Formats: sequence, structure tokens, C-alpha cells
Amino acid sequence: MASPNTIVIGGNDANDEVSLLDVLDHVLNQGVVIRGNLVISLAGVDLVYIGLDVILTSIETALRHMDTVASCDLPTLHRKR
Amino acid sequence: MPVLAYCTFEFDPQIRVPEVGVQGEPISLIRESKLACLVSQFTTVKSGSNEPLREAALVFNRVLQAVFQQAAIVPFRFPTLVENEREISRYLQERESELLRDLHRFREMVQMEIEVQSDVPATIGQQQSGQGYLRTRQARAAVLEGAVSDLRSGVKSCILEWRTRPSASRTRCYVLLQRSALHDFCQKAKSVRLPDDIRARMTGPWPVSEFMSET
Repeated sequence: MASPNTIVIGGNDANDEVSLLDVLDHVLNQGVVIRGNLVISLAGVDLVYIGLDVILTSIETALRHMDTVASCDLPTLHRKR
Repeated sequence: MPVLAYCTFEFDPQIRVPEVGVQGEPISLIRESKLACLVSQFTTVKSGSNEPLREAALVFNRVLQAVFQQAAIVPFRFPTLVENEREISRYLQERESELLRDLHRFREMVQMEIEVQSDVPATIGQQQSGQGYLRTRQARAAVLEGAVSDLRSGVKSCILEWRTRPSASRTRCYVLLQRSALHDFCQKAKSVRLPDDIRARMTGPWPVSEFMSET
């Protein structure tokens, strides 16, 4: 007989691949965040406006953010869950 | 160079803070009145791989957990970058009363998270009508809702607050509880029987973030 279906316990210390995903998911999605628009400028011309909530939804997108953030105007802090 | 913010907590000289953070940079403590915030310098990642950022996120989590084991914290979402440490000082000054209120309220509390997911596919089949598709989705949502309700009932004696955030395919449940009730909570959650086509995954304990004051 199959064992009854119950909850699976993950973790918060990234000891295995699944817990690693739990940790990444958590640090990217929970906590106080800079909320506003990121302005990517080139030679004094504002080129792109990106909602930071969108940027922080996935690690791939966050990586792209890392590549551009050095030349960006950083917005001020606001609280958000 | 941008500054990476980790978390805010009530200053206490007895709290041990990790010396090194993301990218091997030294961690600085910014203090404003009763509050403290951890930051470190952050260099932009130029690699084409996700690995440096993934490693950075894991180190970030380790710093949070190290402080969270000693005190209540208000975590920043990764990667929260500000221009300089003055931005953090200003943030602490502006939000002092609210941050202290939350830190006091959640001093002995932790947050657990349960993701409940249905294995029943919600995609439309070639022979399926629109009405059939909607019925399938409705049935799927009902099973999901039932499983969430069973889980909540199973642990209600040891939790303080429960919030859900449903989406199309899954429901995220956020649970607030006393740190001392953690073992009891995990035992009760594990004993809940779920339908065969439902998967539930629980993680934590995390710092309380879902139940913080709104601004």
C-alpha cells in the first residue's frame, strides 16, 4: 500500500538542491524592497524604465539587473512585504 | 560602489554579527538610535553565468540566518542596493517607530511557509470544450482550497496567524507562530493527510516578513 500523502519539509539552509531553490525563492521574494522605477541612462539620456518589483521576481532577471545597475540611478527605500 | 542591505534589528551589543558577507566583503553595522542595519559593498556582476549571483544570494541568506538566530530581524529582499550608507541611515530614521514596533511584536516569533500545489493539469486538451476546461480548473481550485483548509485546521492550535496568497496553480500559505511552538507545529503539519493529487512543501523558520506593518 502506498504511504499516505503528507507535507514535505524543506529547509532554509540550502543543504540540498531543493532547499537551495527554497532559499533563493525566499530571499528574492520576501522582505523590505526598493520600490520604484529603475532608470537606465546612457550619456544623460533616460533609455529604459523598469519596475523593480518585476526585476526582483527571478534570479535570471536579477542577474540582468546586476549587469546594468552600476550605471543606474538608484531609487529611495520604501517598505514592502 | 553600491551598498547591499541585509537586515534591520534592534541594536544589542551582545548580538554577534558575521564579519564577512556577500562577495567576501566586510559587513558594516550602521546604527541609528536603537536600530542597527547590516550592509556591505557590492560589485556589479559581469559574468554570463547565474552562479555568482546564486552564491551571493546564499551568503546573503546565511548572514540573515546568523542574526535571526539571536534576534528578531526585518530582512531586506535580495538584492536591495542603495547608493551609499547615508541612504540606510535616512531609512532607519524615517521608519524608526514602525520598525521598532514590528521588531518588538515579532521578537519571539517565526514565519513558516507552505506551498500547496495541485498535480492535476489545468491545460486545455484537444477534445476539451471551453466549458470543460473551466470545470476542470474549478475542480482543481476546489481540491487546492480543501487541502489548504485541512492544513490550517491541522495546525490551528499552535499558530498565531495564517495568510494565503493563491495563484492559478498553487497557494502559498504564510504562518506566524511562536518560536517555542515550532516543533509542535511541524509535527502537526506532518500529520495532516493530503489528497493524492496535492503536493505541499513547508520551509522555514524564516524571519517574519509577511506580517509586518504596511506603509
